Amino acid sequence: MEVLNARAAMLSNYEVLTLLSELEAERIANDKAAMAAKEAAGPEHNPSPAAPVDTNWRTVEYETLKWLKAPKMATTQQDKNSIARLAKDLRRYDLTKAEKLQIINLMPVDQAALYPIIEDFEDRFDISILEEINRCVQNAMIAPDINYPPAPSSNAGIDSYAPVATVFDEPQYPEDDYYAGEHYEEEFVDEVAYGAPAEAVGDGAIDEDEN
Amino acid sequence: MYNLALMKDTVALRPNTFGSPPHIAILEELNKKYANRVVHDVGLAICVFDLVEAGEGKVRYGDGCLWYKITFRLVVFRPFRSEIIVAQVKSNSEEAVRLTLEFFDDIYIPVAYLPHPHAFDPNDRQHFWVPDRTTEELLDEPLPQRNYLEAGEYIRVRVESDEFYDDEPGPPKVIEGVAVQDDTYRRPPYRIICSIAEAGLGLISWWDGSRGGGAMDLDEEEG
Repeated sequence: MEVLNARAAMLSNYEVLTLLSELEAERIANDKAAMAAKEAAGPEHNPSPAAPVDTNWRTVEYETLKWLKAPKMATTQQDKNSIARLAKDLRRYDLTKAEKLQIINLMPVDQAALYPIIEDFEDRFDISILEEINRCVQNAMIAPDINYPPAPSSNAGIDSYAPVATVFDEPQYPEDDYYAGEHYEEEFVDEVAYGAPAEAVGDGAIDEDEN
Repeated sequence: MYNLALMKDTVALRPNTFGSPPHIAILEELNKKYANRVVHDVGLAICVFDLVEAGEGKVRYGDGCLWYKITFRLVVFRPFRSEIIVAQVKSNSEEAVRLTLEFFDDIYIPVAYLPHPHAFDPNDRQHFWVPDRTTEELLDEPLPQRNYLEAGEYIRVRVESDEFYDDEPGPPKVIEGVAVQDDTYRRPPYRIICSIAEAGLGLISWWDGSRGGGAMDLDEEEG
């Protein structure tokens, strides 16, 4: 194991929620397909049992989803479009990337919640900005949808996810010559099957020319 | 809260996985290895985000596995310093308040990071904060004045620091031929220290105006 970059990009809570929901739906669909295949094949047919899903992975997935779907969390009042709109609104203010990410994660609708997020507030902004940003957040909220994501039985919604809608940072891949010494005869880059890479959706929510 | 970490690792695929497409099998293998584990100085791994690059599977002398060199991105939980996060109060002790995020609960607010003036109620075994002090002794404050850090409440905190420990378990202890359980306290591998000693931080109900006497205005706190 080797860590090339411990912090290649930051993810918003909503992105993690989308990713995990998608993986969960995928697995449930696979399980169902396997069950159906087994039933269709009849009792005589006895294929090698599918490898059980690792419990560690299952646990963290379940608990993270449970947390992100908790009614108090802002993720229940967001969707892809609302985040994009909020990010666009926030461009007007001279906020750092981390501050924007926190505003999107927490969706502060009152001044008390917003105030600690912005560093050195008094020196940088006028107090009226708080209200303006609160209003932006309020505008970007959608009605809380506890049933999010769509039930796994309906596959229509799941296919349409663009998994990396708002990756905040271009991933920093190592230099090409990094691999020069390695014996890579053929390499494949598996980007198609596992979500479009960040650059494919580069016109996403957060402006990227920021430092 | 969450990051992508770029990682490199070598994965062995066992022959019983040769039937499925290699990228699926590799993802499964990586998730098995990393999910829900703390990677030192990186954070708590949630799951693999995607594969960036994979080498050709190679067979080594001595086993039937296919070995792949993989570069991949991992979703990790690691809030940065000074990030504001929302958590839930898990428990109170005299030294610290412990918070939980369901999937991670080694989050602490040491007493020094509680808002001033605060006190520990030995009967309820909970810390409380008194924004408008009326009596000399904090424990004499009338109940409505006290803002308790009750378990289960949602709380907004600032991350002050985080610590990683890589404690090796020692050799197994054996007394007269019988293995004994090692009961010594083991430090969590990853721990986050948080603070609520600031305007806007603390239980969410303190600030959203739902409690008449308890919540205060920003200006008041600043003054």
